[in-house]
Amino acid sequence: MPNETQSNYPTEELVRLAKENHSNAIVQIVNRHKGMVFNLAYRILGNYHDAQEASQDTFVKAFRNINGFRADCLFSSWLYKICYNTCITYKKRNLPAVELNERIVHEKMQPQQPVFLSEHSDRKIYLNQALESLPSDDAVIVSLFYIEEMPTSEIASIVGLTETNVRVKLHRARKMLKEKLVHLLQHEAANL
Amino acid sequence: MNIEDTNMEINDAEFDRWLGRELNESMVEPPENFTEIVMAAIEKPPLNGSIDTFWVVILISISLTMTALVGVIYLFPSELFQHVNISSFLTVSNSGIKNIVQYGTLLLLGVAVFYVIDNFLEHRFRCRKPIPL
Repeated sequence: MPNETQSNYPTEELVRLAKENHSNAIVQIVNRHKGMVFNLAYRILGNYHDAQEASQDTFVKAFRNINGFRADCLFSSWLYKICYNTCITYKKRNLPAVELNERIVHEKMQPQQPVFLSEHSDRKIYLNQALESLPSDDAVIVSLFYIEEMPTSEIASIVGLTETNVRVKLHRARKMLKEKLVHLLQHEAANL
Repeated sequence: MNIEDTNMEINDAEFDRWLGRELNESMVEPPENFTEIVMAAIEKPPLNGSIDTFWVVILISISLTMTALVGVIYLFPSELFQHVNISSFLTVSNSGIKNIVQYGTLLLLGVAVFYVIDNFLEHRFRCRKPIPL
């Protein structure tokens, strides 16, 4: 039975152990990175079920090819790159279904009644709506930059763009998010 | 982000801080059994049966070797092997480069077959070693 508790092992050491097929090291790595991998998949694919499948597929691919990981970049960057590529392939394969699911999720996310602005759950809904209005690439860049606090050079290597491109997209996404959130909040404030 | 008085003049740095904090709090949680599902997918159990894995590997290796010895020669046109011998390799002739290319092709084919079999056997029969962390 794998040990589920979080250890203080550095990621490099866990990766070395994972290369030697130590199952507990693999469990630790999955536990450390599942949140971000899942969120990236969710931002690209737009629904929970597809995100679950794609993120699980990401880990399986990563550990089957872990001997191909050279320590010339961060393990997390390598893993997120696999996740990004897996999701893009998945999205191309299931394009009509994903678009439909995105619409359904978007419809579900629409608040049916006026809500009080300061509630955290409402802010979460607005933020999700704003993020969903971004192109998936931009949402991934925003997530990596703000949640994982990755430098733009690392993000560029993950999404396969130049650093300048990432900066431009980040700037544009930030501006769009701000406008969208302000618009949503203004609309809600007017309804109060 | 100031939403109390719908003042929309929001400082960029303030917005960045707010966005970072909110995005962290708004992360979608994967299902609770996520890790178990991943581990189950990674750790495929070895073949069941009464035959020892070691002998399965030996049997497959012998079968593949015998099949390769008998079958491979017929897969290629006879011209391919016409000049493939040590004497032609050592002879300085107009077809020297062609011979080297043929030797190289055969060598690459051998390496490719070895790599595929090696990978297959490693993935199919390896088992994970649990260690306490």
